[in-house]
Amino acid sequence: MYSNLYNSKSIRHIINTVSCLNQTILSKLDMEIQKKSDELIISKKEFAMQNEEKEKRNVELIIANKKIDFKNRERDIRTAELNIANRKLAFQNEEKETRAAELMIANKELAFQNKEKENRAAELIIANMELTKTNSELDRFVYSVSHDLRAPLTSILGLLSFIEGESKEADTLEHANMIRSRIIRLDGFIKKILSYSQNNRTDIDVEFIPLQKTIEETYEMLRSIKDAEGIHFEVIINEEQSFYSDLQRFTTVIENLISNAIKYHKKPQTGRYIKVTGNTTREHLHLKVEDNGIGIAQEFHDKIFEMFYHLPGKQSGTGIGLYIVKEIIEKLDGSIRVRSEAGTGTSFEITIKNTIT
Amino acid sequence: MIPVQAAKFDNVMIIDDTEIDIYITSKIISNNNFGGNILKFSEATLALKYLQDNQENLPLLPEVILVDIYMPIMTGFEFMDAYDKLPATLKNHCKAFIISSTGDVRDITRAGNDKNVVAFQEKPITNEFLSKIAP
Repeated sequence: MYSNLYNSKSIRHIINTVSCLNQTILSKLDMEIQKKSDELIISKKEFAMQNEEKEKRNVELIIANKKIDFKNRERDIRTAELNIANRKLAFQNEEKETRAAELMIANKELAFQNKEKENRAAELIIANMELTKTNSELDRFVYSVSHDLRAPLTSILGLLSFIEGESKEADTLEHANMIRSRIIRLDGFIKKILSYSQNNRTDIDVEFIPLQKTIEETYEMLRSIKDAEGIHFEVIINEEQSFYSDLQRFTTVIENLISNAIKYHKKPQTGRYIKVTGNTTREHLHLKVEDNGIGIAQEFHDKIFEMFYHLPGKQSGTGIGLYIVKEIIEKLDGSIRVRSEAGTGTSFEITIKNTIT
Repeated sequence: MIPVQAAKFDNVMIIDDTEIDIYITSKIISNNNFGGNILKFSEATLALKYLQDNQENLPLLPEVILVDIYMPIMTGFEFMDAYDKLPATLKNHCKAFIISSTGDVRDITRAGNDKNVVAFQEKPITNEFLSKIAP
């Protein structure tokens, strides 16, 4: 068969061609392989990179996981805290409700107390009205009793004057004189009570008061008192501004102060005086009644204006004169103060409002 | 016994609801030979009636009237209000005085303001008071 081979050249050619082809194919394959290999390498590299990435991611995930875990734990704690807080709030809420209930009760109590207070105020108004009524009734009572007490006293004084005029018995005359002195004291006291009740009962009656004249007349009335003998009396009033006030009340004040000055003078002594000085302005009368009598010790200065206060000593008064003086002066929008020392004398300083209408 | 000297006034009227006070006032009047005839009334209405009944008869009328303030039925002031309505001839003949133990300034002021009242006198009346009343 080989013989059949026409020519070897052809075969050769064929072989050559085949070989060449083969070679081409091989080369192509090689290239392919190379290419594939390259690709594989790239792929491998990519894979390695991806792996790296994955690991990195993994680490990140672990970290993230840990963070989440931490956060979770935090959340648990927070939740627990919230639970506690919630419970606290619930408790507080309860407390608040309780408190609200308490407040409502307290509110009701306050409303009740308010009502009570209103009732009390109404009661006080009624009580006040009753007291005012009682007071005016008491004033009327004092007035009426004083008057009823005085009437028989004047009868006794009248009868006494008969005994004094008719009896020749020394003892009888002495006793009659004692009776008289007691009656006069009692009568004086009743008159003072009357004058006190008058100050309370009657309205202020403003009129022009001639001061110098009024004070001198008051003294004239009082000078018949036995104790007044030998006392030098002086009145100096600067009446630049006409003075208007309640004449009757003013006279009562002057009468009390002067009769006190007479009564509490030093007994057997020369140079005894009672001096009334004063001046007027549009607003006020300033008056000073001073004497060089027995005086009042400092410790009694606050007491002498009190009702029924008697200074210790044998010259005991009724304890109402200066009280009336103070009451009247207050009613006349004025004030009174005392300056005195035991043994050297007393001065009363008065301010009374000038009621120029 | 007839008094040697005639009394200061022929007729003196006392109006007072207190018997003892009428006694005292009359006795002081007698002691001072102040009134020849003392007309005593314990009630102002009766005294007023006496004046009305005798308003034309001057010799029977008092020259001096001493009237108390506080009396039941008619007070001294009410009496003076009624007295004011009596004829002028009678009022010219009489001197009226208010005699009271009142310590009330308003009473004293009221007495002083009455044009028919000569003066207010605190009880008991005295010799000095009577001696000041001129015939």
